[in-house]
Amino acid sequence: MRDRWTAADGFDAGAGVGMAEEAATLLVRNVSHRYGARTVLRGVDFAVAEGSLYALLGPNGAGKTTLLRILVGLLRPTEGEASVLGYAPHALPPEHRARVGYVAESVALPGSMTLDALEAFTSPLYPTWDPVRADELRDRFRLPRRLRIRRMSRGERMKVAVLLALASRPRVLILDEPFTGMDAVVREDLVQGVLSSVSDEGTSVLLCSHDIGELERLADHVGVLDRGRLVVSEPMDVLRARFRQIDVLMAPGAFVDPARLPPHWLAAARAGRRVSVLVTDHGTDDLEARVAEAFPLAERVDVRRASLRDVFVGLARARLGSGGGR
Amino acid sequence: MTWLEQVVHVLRWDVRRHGWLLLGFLAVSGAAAVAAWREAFMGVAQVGAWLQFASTLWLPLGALAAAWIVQSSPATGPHAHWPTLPLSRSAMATAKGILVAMLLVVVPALLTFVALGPLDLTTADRVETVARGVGLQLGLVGVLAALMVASPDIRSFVIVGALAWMGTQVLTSTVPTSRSTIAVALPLALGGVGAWYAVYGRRRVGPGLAVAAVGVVAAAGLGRLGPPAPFEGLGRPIPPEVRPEAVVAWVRNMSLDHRNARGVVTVGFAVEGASAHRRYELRNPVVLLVRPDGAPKRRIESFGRGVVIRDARPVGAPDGRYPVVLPSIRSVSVRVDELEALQAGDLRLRVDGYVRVLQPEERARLAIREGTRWVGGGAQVQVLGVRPEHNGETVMVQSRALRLLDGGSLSDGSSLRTSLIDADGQWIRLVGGSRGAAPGGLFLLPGLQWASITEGLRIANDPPSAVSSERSATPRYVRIEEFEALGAEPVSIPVASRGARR
Repeated sequence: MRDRWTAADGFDAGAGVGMAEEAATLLVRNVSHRYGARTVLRGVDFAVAEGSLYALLGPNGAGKTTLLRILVGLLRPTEGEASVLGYAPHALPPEHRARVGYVAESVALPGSMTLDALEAFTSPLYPTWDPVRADELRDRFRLPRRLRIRRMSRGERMKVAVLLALASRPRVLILDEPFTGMDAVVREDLVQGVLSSVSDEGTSVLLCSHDIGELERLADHVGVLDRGRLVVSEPMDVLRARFRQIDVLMAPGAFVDPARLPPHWLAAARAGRRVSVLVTDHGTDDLEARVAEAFPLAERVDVRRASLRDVFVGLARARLGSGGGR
Repeated sequence: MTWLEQVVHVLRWDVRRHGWLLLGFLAVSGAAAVAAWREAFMGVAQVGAWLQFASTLWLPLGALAAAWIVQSSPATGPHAHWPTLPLSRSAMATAKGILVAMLLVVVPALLTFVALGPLDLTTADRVETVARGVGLQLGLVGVLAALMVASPDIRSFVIVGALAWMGTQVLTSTVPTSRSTIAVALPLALGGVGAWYAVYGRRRVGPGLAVAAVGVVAAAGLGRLGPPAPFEGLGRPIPPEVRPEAVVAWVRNMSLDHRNARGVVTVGFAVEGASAHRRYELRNPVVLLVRPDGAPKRRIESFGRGVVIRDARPVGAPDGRYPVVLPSIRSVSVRVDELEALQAGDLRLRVDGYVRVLQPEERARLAIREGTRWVGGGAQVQVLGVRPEHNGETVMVQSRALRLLDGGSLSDGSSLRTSLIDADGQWIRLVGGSRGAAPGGLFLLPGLQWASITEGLRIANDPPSAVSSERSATPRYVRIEEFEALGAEPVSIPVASRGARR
């Protein structure tokens, strides 16, 4: 099984957005990280351009949070290098750090402070702090100003973190599971807030979430991290163009041998007579003919554009072998 | 925001955020200061349980409060909020460090300065006393600071802090008191500061602990091998009219300690041509092994801050009647091969130090009445009570002196001499001359401690003394004398071989 999907597989994994490195506000080059004997990141490469939103997907334990912590400077990579705004994250000067917003559920906000106190403490540290935006976000999120943070709900604490990050008008925004504990309305508010930040101010966003639906709406680029390796990294439109989902209803008694599927087709799921296949190289030849050849005993075949969820689940199942593999 | 503005910003917010904790600590340490002040003012421990509690626990509580503030924004770990902010790490470390120093050094130092008020010390003496107490405190604070920044949480800090406390006690007890205390405290303090900035700067515990370990090793090394403490009493030379003929030393005994495989050499000291009215001290003595040609082989040991040297002749009390027992014998530990060389005469001992001559000056006379008290120069003498007995009365007299735990005074803890005298001022007997002062309570800053002697003396209807010269007059006053140095000079004393004297 391959550790990484490359252009030969129909992906543009290593190049990320395919930009010159100097144009990237976030750059990760061959980064590996170990906790003791356990390796959680292995040779990760990608870049995020100014004004783009890079969504990072991956199952639990894939190394997403570790990667984000490296980019914020909370951890140092064991190997390789990362840069934010041209600096190693752990050595980012305060004036540049002031342009980086970070939201993560794991970061413990000072529980004894109220939101008012936390804003008063935080705002002088950011030359670009926007009090009007802070007021807007506080109202939009309906956050209590005088309640101690330790008494807030999980969702409210996330909203506080988002408020602090967005009110500083960052050039780089790193979001680790920002939708945690948020209801649909507030989630929409957050999405709009992030999108306006990206479009109005050219903020670069690296977003990691299990909420694939939201990511699909937001992201310009997508990366999929699996067991510490970046197995997909490419622009969303390329990904949409290249992936197709084929749902097949086989004739009774018919059998699909995954080993006989064409190269770059992943058997994503099988339930009874229904088989789902993820095509990773759409556009390279006549898909209709290849489908007919692959499933001669099919009763019905539906070919559709693969959603980000389809891609993520298909890749994950293929790697785990639960879908039967190829 | 400039670096300095960041420091002030974090400091201001920490004070605001932990105000209740800081106020609580100030209340406890203030109560401890009140306890110390009342003790100094009233002469005895006239303080209630709460004040006693405060004076015992202010330091552990202060360390806990400091650790709480530090751990509220942990220096390491991936969950801290402050590293995600545009804050300089050194600014953060400095702001937190200032708060810890305020809690554990500045506040207690100021309170100690105030509490020393009733002890009739000059301002310069108060400043010096506090400064020396702070010097001792710095080593402990350095160790605690390294631990509180390296501990993952408060519970771990409590455990390792308690272990470190015991460790520093062991270290202190093994360091000869004649070594410069600052030589021990300074590496610990610098190690603590280095560890503090290393942990904040690298956001990893390992480099910090490495720096702290270097400090501890340096402190232990300097404590064992470092320079002797400077002798502060070398003000003026001994006037010729009071200079003793000689200070002599001789080996009284040599034996083998089989259990520890070490040789033990007991050395006697004496002054020839001494006056019974003066005191002779050998200060900062260092014992050396020397070759027959006089070349030093190695420094073995010290005898603490000093030794009071007896007259080579049988000496008496100030009026020559009552024998006074003062220590003039010390033992040193040598290796077995060195013991054999000493026995064979291939090596000899030499003691280097300073001889100081002191003369008592009367400071005050206290009427023998309950509550009468004298205070001066950080010491106090008080008549605690006069208790009727079936055949007379017993007067309880307490002498107390504030001393530094770095051995800033002689082993008897006081330069005072207290005697009972009759109505005509004639000397009757010494008070507390027969035993050393017992360590009493701490005086707020660790490093400052009371040394006290409390003695009950029967003063009337005593049977005739076995000492024919003792006066049987009725005591009326407690006379307080203070030994004043007449001069001091360096001295190098060859230790005569065994049998030269008894």
